[in-house]
Amino acid sequence: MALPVSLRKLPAVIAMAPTTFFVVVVLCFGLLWTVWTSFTSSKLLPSNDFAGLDQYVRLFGSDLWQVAVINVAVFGVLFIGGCLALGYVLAVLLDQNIRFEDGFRTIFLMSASLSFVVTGIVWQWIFDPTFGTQAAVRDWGLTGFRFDWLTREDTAIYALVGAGVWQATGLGMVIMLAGLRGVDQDIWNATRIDGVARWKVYVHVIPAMIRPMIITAAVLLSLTAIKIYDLVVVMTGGGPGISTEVPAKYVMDMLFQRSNLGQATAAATMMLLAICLLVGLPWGIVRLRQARSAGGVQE
Amino acid sequence: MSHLKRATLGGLAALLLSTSAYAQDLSVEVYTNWVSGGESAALNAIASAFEAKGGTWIDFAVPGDSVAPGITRIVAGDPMGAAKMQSTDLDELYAAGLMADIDEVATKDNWKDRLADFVWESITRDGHVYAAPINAQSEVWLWYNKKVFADLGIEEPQSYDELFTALDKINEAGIIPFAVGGQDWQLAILFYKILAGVAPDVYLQMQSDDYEAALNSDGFKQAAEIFGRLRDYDDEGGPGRQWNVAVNMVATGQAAMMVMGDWAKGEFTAAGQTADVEYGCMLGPQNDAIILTGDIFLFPKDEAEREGQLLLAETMLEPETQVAFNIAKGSMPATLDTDVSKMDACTQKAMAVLQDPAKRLPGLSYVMSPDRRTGLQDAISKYWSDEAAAPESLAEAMLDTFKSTN
Repeated sequence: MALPVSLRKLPAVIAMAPTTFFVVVVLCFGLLWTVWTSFTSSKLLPSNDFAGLDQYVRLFGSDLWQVAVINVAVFGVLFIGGCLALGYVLAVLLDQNIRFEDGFRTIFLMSASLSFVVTGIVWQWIFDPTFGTQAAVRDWGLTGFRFDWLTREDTAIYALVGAGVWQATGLGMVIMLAGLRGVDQDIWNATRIDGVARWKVYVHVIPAMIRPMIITAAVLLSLTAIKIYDLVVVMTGGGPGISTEVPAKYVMDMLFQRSNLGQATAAATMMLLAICLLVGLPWGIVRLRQARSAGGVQE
Repeated sequence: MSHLKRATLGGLAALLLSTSAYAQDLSVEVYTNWVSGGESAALNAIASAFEAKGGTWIDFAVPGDSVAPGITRIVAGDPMGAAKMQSTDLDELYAAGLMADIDEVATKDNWKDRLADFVWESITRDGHVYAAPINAQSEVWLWYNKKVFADLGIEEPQSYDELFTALDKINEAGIIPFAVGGQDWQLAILFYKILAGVAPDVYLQMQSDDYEAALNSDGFKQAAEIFGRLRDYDDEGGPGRQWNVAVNMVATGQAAMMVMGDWAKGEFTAAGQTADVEYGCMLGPQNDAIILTGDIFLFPKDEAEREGQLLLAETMLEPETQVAFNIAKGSMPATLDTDVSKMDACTQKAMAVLQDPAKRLPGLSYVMSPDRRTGLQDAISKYWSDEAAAPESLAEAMLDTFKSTN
């Protein structure tokens, strides 16, 4: 005897209830509350004094926020680009039927299992001019050696990129390696018959074939980049000066150091908007295209 | 997994229930962010004095800079009996009607006359007292390594000119003249020390509504210049350096001097050193006026803990408690009439100076919102890290902060 459809779905509904509850109440309510608070004059305690766009006027007029936005853009482009490029190279190298592939894969992925806090501390030591690489090389006799990226205003952000790329390259690598494994052997046979060099195939043909994997990796990495916080706090604390401030740090500082809920929520709202536009929109377009082309094949 | 979680939650709930069951008579739950060795020892000094009078001390310590854990509970209607916060936090909590006054204790023990004026003002709102100050910290100390000074034949400099002469001499000897912890708040301490040294009146004017005049004054410009010149005397590891690392550089003789608050003493002590023997402390050069900050405990409204709160407030301002607490914490008693002969040489030196009310300068945490204060720190740190920046750019950046915050 078959149960009516509504009853058959009941276990699924029950199983989903906690998730639904959290998404609706915690996430949606939290989001709406954040957006609403950004239009109030809240300081230490949340209040409902409507202040119009005051918080946004101050936000966009603030040096700190402007520096933070530029930094996250620079960081994002270099970090995502670096991780993808380096990750692809590593994935290709691992794809050559080498010995101990499992071992190498684990080693390259290992860094991704470290938190940004640990990564940050290690790289801070490496970059510390009185303690790390610079001091070591000078001790060997090269006294003119300079490696002080982290302590100079104009280069500190690149030191952060370096540490970030080191940490997240492994993740990009495994995703793209999975893509490489999915490439049809016929492609290789065909290109071999045509006499195309292997590296040319890797440069011109394969990236287009594993595009979904690259996009997945890029989306995951861009989420990390936009909300980057812990790495900055550990490595530079936003310094020297304010040269490595980032939006997430602006939010946290406003919230916990400066007791300014209104500013914090305004900045958080802008970050949410940025994620929707920069990550959600391209992702949506890609999915839409895929759906369309899949539909086209069926016809 | 979920069983484990549930069990933990159950355990936590039981714990919370049991603490609220204790919460009666003279028990008070005390919120702080003090968890390090010296800090817990200092808290214990209050707790043991409180318990000797029949109170029960319940510790609620959450490490970190944020007061959010305490604020959340107060706003949610589950207040603790006492909370270590800033007087600027008091503004909003008081306006929201969440605070309980401790007038009877303050009147009985004559707090008004025993505290610095601005400390008294910072704990009162509309004529009622809402907080108990536990310590005072000097934020103008110049710490120096006595051996380095003696080896190079340097005396304590009496003016900034003399200071720079000394710095040059130390530089030539191949020692780092000036250790700097290049974090926002540390650089701010250094800058305000210089400002309070060369132009204490400007420092005070900056706290008033007339801040623009202060920022445009000659005194301010002079302070900004001196601060900027100091950039040449630190080492390249400065940016981002922790304060205790900088203190250790002075303690080990790697660097000759540095500026930091009272708490630097703890690091010297941990290195087995004694004030005025291995290391020296001076309030100057030029002017020994002291910027004072300090910690206060607020008393949120909670009828069940009322009696305990009053007893705790009374205990906190007793001279014995103040001395015991501050020996452990490394700071000075908030009650300026306290006998400090049992305390270290630096504290005694500062307390002697503080007997003159004109030498007591309020720290910015008493008079400025954390929003404005932190914004100013950013401006100072930005100026410091840009070697090419002119003194005027500091005044401009600080003025921007003043105008965009309140």
